[in-house]
Amino acid sequence: MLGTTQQQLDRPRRIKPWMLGLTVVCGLWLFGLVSFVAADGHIEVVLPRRRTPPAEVHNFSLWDLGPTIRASSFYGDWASLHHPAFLVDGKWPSDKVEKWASAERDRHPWIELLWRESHTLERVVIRHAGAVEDAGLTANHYTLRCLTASGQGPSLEVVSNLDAVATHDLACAQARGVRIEFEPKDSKDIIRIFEVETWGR
Amino acid sequence: MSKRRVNIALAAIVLVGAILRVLALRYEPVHHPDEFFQYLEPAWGRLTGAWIETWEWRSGVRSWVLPGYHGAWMALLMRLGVHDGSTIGKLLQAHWALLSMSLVWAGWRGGMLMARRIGPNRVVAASPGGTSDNDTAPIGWQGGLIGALLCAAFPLQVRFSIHTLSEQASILCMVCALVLTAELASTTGGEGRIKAAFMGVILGLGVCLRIQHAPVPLVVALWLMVSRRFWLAVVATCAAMLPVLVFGLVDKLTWGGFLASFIGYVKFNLVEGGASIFGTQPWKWYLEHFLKRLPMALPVLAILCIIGIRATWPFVASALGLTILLSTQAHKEERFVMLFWPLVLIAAAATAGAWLAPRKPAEPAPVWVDGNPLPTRRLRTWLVRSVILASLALVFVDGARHARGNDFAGLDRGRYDAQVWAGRQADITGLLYDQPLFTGGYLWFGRTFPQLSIQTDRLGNPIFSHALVERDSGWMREAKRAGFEEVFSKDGYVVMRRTVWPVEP
Repeated sequence: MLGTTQQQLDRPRRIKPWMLGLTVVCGLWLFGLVSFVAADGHIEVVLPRRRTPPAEVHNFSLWDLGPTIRASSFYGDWASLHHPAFLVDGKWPSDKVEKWASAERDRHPWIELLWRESHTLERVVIRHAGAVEDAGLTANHYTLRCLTASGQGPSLEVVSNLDAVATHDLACAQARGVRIEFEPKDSKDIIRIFEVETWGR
Repeated sequence: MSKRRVNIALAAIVLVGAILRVLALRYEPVHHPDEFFQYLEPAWGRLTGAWIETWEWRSGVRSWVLPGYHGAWMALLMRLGVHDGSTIGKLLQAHWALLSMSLVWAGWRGGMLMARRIGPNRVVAASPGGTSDNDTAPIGWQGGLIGALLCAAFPLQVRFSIHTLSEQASILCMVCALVLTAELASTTGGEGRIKAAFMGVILGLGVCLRIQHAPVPLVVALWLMVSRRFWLAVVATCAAMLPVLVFGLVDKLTWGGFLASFIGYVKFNLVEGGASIFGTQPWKWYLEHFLKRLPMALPVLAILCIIGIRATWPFVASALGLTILLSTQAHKEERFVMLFWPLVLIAAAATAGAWLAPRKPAEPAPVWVDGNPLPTRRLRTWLVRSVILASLALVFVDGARHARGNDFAGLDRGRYDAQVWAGRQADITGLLYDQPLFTGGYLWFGRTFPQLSIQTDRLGNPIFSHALVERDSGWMREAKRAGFEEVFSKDGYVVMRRTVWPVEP
């Protein structure tokens, strides 16, 4: 009897196929979980190009020139979806819904407008919430950064904006896009922008 | 019956269950918008940024655990190169269908264990462990096979198996936990501590996923107490705290408070009765609904449950407790009470199986003068068997005849399909629709574009390239005037595409 027990103890423990399968599935799921948790939840929209850009000074972020819009988040309510594509729809005046608004829990909202080719950027026009809604909803503190093929170009920090339609001179050669980083006023503030125009050649 | 034959029968049942679930994946329509917007869309939103945020998510009354579970699979699939949202959605539905096959195991084990304690052979079955030798089938196999068959093929159960709802996940946990409790209740001494711990974990998980299923853990606790398995009850209770801890910590990390979403959910739905804004029904609504689903077979199931109540009471009590609890809530939906079905089916299967089992009479059967047994006993046996088998056939036929439709009447397949078609077009940049509620989420489109309800001035916004309207409606005429043309239609719904863009100012 003792000999039999000893034999059983000496026998290497076999891994059953179902245990191995379960371990592999759990491992893969955990890998997916890490990727899921690491995701930052930003949105990217690529619009199709419907016309070629003109040679003269123009807004090269307009929807029909096929820009790419990236945003840290958006306010995705069922009835009033404030999608970032509204930033470049060129519709003005706009109703209160057709704007980009950051999500309620987004503490570091940002947007990026990227173009299909390089441009010489001259100025950025931002149509804030105050242009349509209450003036107090206009974003006051934000930073504009020019994006170039080699990384970041010139930037401009705006600390006390009160203009509902704010025009910011930002000269930047070989620009591929602009990034705007906003500072919410408090933990409950959301950023509301109706339109962003980038003018140059 | 030999063990081999029973195993073959069980394998055939598993195969039937799998085939039926494949058919459900192909043909089962959307049951409720929540199956996208509460449990898939938030996960998709975290991975792609595009999601529709419902009021529950804005108010923080939903836990991130189930979307996080789905999100992990989504992230893995995306890493493997699957980026199409609808493919990912279908794979997740298939995954739930696969997991729902655990009910077949539950039906087999539960039906068998309870069948051993019912009917004429309970004394024989009560012999050490109720087991048999290596070649003969385990005692109670008839109840096991019927339970497995009902759980594999009951039409409503098959339909529900593919839906990505918290009810579905919780049902699997609750039914398996009850069956494990049946096993624990038949053990002796302190045996089965690992099993008790596992049972506790899935029981806790089931409650965290669906607090309305709370009558089940109460019955489990009572069952272990009645069976004098006090130590196992302690082990299970401690283990059940593990999922509670996980849910609580996830809430702390995502919503800022331990069990914050759970508390918010209970407060809104069960304490304040907030769900009544979505409609109220009379207290007897669930009973009427059960009868609507099985008008002829439900009384048969009830009779079987009552006959075997000595053994089936935990399943029957859980089903009744759930129904009573949910009946006290003003807002009622069929999906809330779906746990009722597997519980009742397994309980009925146990009784049916017990009565199908051959009797082992204490005394020899009376015989004719020539030595042949009297035909009355055989006749009675075959009569009972015929009635039981006819009852089972009735459950399937009645269930299939009344399995169609769901109580969410506003969910129109045509509108849903039309929107999914529009959302998957390569050139879509924006969609206007006349009814935002009954639509698929961004997961099903695989594209990110703005969607808003149709208005005259919005038809002039060039970002909206498509419109979804009802055929011959005022909006269809207005969209035509604004330069939209019909490109797709289904069941009275029309998708229109912009062909003339507004002139730039």
